Amino acid sequence: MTKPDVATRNSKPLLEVVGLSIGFETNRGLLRPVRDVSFSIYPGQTLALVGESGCGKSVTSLSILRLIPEPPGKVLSGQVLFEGRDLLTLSQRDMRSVRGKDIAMIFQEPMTSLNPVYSIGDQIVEAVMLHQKVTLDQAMNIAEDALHDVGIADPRRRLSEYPHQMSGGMRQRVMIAMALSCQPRVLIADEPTTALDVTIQAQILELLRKLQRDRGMSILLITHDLGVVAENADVVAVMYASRIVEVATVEDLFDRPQHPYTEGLLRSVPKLGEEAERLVTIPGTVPNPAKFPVGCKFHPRCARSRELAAKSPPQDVVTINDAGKPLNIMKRCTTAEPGLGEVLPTHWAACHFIEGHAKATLSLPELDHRREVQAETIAPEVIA
Amino acid sequence: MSIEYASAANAFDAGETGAPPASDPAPTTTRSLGRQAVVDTFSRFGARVGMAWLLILALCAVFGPFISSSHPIAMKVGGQWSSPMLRHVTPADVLVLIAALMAVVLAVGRWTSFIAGLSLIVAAVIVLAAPVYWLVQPPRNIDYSLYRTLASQGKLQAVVYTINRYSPSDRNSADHLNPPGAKHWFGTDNDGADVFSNILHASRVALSVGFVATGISVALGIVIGGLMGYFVGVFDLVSMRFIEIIESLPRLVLLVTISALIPPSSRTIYVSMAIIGITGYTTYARFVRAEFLSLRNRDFVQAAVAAGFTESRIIFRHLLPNGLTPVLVTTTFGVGAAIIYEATLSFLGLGQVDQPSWGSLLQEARAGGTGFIWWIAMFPGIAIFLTVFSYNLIGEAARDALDPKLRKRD
Amino acid sequence: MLTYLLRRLLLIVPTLLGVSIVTFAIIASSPGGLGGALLGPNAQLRPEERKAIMAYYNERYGLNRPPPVQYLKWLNRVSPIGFKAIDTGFPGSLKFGLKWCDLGESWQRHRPVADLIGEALPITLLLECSSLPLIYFFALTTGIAAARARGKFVDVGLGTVLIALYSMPEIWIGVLMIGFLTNREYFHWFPTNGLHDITSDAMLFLPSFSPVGFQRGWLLDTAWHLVLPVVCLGYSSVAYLSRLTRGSMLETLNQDFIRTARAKGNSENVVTYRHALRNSLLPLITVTASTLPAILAGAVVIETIFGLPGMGLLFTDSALQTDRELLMALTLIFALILMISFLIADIAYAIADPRVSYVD
Repeated sequence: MTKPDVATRNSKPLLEVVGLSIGFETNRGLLRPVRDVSFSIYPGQTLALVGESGCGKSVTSLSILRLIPEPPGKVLSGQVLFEGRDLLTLSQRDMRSVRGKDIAMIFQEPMTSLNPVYSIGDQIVEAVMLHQKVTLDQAMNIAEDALHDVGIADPRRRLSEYPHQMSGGMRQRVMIAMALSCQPRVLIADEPTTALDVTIQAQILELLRKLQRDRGMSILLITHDLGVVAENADVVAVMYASRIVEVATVEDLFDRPQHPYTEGLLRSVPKLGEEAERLVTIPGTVPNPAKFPVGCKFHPRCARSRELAAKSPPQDVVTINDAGKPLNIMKRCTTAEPGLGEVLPTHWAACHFIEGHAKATLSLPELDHRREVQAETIAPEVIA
Repeated sequence: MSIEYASAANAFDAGETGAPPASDPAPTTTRSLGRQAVVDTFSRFGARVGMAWLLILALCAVFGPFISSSHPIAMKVGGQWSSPMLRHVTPADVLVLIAALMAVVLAVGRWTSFIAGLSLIVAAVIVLAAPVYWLVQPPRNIDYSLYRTLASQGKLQAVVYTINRYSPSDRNSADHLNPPGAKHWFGTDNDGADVFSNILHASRVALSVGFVATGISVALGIVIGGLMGYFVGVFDLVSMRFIEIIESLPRLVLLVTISALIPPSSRTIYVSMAIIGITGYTTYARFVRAEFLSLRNRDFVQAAVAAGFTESRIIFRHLLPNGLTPVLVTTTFGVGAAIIYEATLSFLGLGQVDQPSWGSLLQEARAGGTGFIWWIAMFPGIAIFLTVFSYNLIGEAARDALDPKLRKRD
Repeated sequence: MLTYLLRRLLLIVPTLLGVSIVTFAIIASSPGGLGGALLGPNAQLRPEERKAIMAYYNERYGLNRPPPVQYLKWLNRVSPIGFKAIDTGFPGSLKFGLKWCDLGESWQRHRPVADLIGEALPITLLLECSSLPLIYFFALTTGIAAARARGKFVDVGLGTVLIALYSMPEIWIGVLMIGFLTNREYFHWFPTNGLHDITSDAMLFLPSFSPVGFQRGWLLDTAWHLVLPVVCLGYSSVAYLSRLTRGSMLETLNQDFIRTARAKGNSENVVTYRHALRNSLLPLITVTASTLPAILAGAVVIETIFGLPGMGLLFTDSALQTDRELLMALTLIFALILMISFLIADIAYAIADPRVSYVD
């Protein structure tokens, strides 16, 4: 129950994504899975990027390390600033020295993310020798220490084993060991526990927290699981349909969600001790990037817009087609896309109908915040 | 891929939430899956090119005797009009015409599915074979030089020739080994026969051997493979050993062995088809057997059994459509391979002797080791190449269209 | 692994038995029967003379016995374990044990089959062993290049050219090559026929310069004779395997661990050759096992066209002449070569893929 290390607080973000837009050339035209996305991560901070499948969070994270294949993908605009340098303008050679050394990444599927024909020792040693001038023996020792740090017993023996001889949880630990072997400043974790059992999930997340504390590392945690967010994040950015719709500290987000989508997400998590007959859901499905709605991308599913429309004069209301049935929503939602404005101090949201949005400054969300509560305090309320 | 399963899943969806699912509903009949496969394949440029050549070839095969024949379409001698070409039409020509006509009518009218249409045509040909053979009886002794003699004697008052004026077996030794020219478009061979005519008429052999042999292989493969996969046990063990024995010899070696031991007089085109067909079933048997083995325990089969379907219904309506996609792709490549085997056998002197074949023409080009007659080597070879190329293009297009693993990630 | 090896080697025996039975059955059911073309040049004789000769042959080769008996006698003679006669004359006393394999004597050429095969086998092996490495080299390099340049014109163009190559029958290319490249009328770049020059016995082994000019030497001369046959044998396999390599590489490059390899900071070359290639080779090894029969069969055609006195030519001749002993022995050897190649391919796969082990 140690307090988080406040001494790492800095006034400059370590990794800044500014107005990033990514396009994909397909035979259906140019798709834009990421549009004008901005967020910042400070040293030692965990930023959780939350959203449903298809909202663009994975594409965003891959673009930071420029792992999106250039045809068909391309960067339409924006910058990715790491310690002040724009990664998007680096040469391939310079980019390669960033990957794995300054910024490392672990992925969702540990079962398939390791090369099946090489031993894990070979793979970790490869990562080490790419970025550090060491001999093979020294690299093996570093690999062994890395395995030890992630809690794998008998690490020396494990070095000569192959991925297929290990369980999913163990492979994910190996992935983490490999990613951390060169002491990166930022770790991008793309749904690291989605494919694992719940108990293993908890172990892996705790491991990540511990490693973060020990090394002062920043983590960009991509997930769709609010429980994971509540336990691990310092700052949360919510993504919907290629845009960021809300950014806040984790406490603020769960206490006072501003965006109707976030509200809907939080309401849909069942609570212990709550009586209900039906699970609350957000009606409809995530839109197809080839057919994004005009105006606010969330308007076909927005409960707030519907409620307001019922109480508003007819000139502000418009009728749309909802799977064959007519539905009244606010006209503003279908004509203009709301920007990400600072509607409350250190709390950004993108919705026309938040009090203060019209006057809010459309600024870049930068939050140098570390969580003030431990997991146990939040858990019983939010995670069922 | 599993149609019935998908429809059931959709029904479940709709029942639960009361709202229709956001994605498109799955196709509800097996036919549209096959038709979809054909549409996908032929949307690709390569497949279209291949099909174009195959259609040209089919036209040559069907209308060969009418395009290229030494017998004039019509001639007037001594005031009498006659049609030697029509008189010399063989029963085989007539049957081929009938089959082609039926194929066109059924394809355009779309009255039956592909398999039903095919069976109908085959049945019609078999049924009509006897009466046609009885009715159509071309004269036994064919005298090709008759028309040339009449022409030189000035007795031909009017004559209408076919487009190419020679039959394949019209050997005029005066014209032997002519290079290509105005009279003989592709030149003549050792005996003075017109090369163009031989190539045209041999298209029938190539096409039919390709189809029939592969058809035999596929049918045998499906039957045996299906039986093996469905009724595992002793039958499966024994058949598998037999397949291994056949596969332990290269197919050409097996073909040469069998063909060499059949006396030249009995080597008809049907024998060729049969041999090439029977030796090729193992690939298809393996595919179908693997599909059946893996599908036996899948959920929707158990659902079908629980619903009370009989075994044969399970096999034909549920298991087969799912397992057939790799078979389809392999079949197109198989037809190309069968054509090359037929040509190779003919080249080695082991092919059928009653009809001209592209392979045997190639053998003629090697007259006496060091001699080389380029027109007899070039043109039949190009014909074989274009035909096999067309099948391979279609096969590649089919594979791109149907193989889920090669689809680009979205 | 050793037990697996032994098991596979032992399993070869029943398959060989099966092949021999099938071949024997085919020969037996041919119109010439098991006596085949023994008559040959004697077919013009008068009936009673023909009968006398037939009777002689029947007695000598045991042709008047029923086919299964003939087969068993052949099997006994050919196999390394079987019945040996201690005294002459049948029944005599027979002992069962190890003995020499006697493949018999060719009826047409009147020479022991083993000798004929001994002369022909090295030539076929030379042809195959020079072709295989070249085939793989070209297939892999073009396949990888095509996969890396996916979608661009080079890839699509190369792909179409390869499908075209794969569609060209060997008989045609062989005849064209001989016609245009070995002919005095066109380009006499290559020798016409056979494996060696007539003067090759007098040649030195290595190339040399002499007062007369450049001397090819035996090595270079043989290589020169082999160029066209090797090209003709291999071009369609190169095309096929190249397409396969491309497909396999593309599939591998789509996998998650390639993304991990890039995220570690590896260069594209390392990702392609170290990570992707090793994985793509696995399905390729499996497919090799099914292309080997075609390459072996190709030798039959190529040797016939180019006049190389190897197993293929021997085989075609023996089939056409229904030379029973030779034919049986040859089919067995083809099957044996093929099965050993399959075994080598399986072992190579087990070595290459750590997920596969044949430990019981």
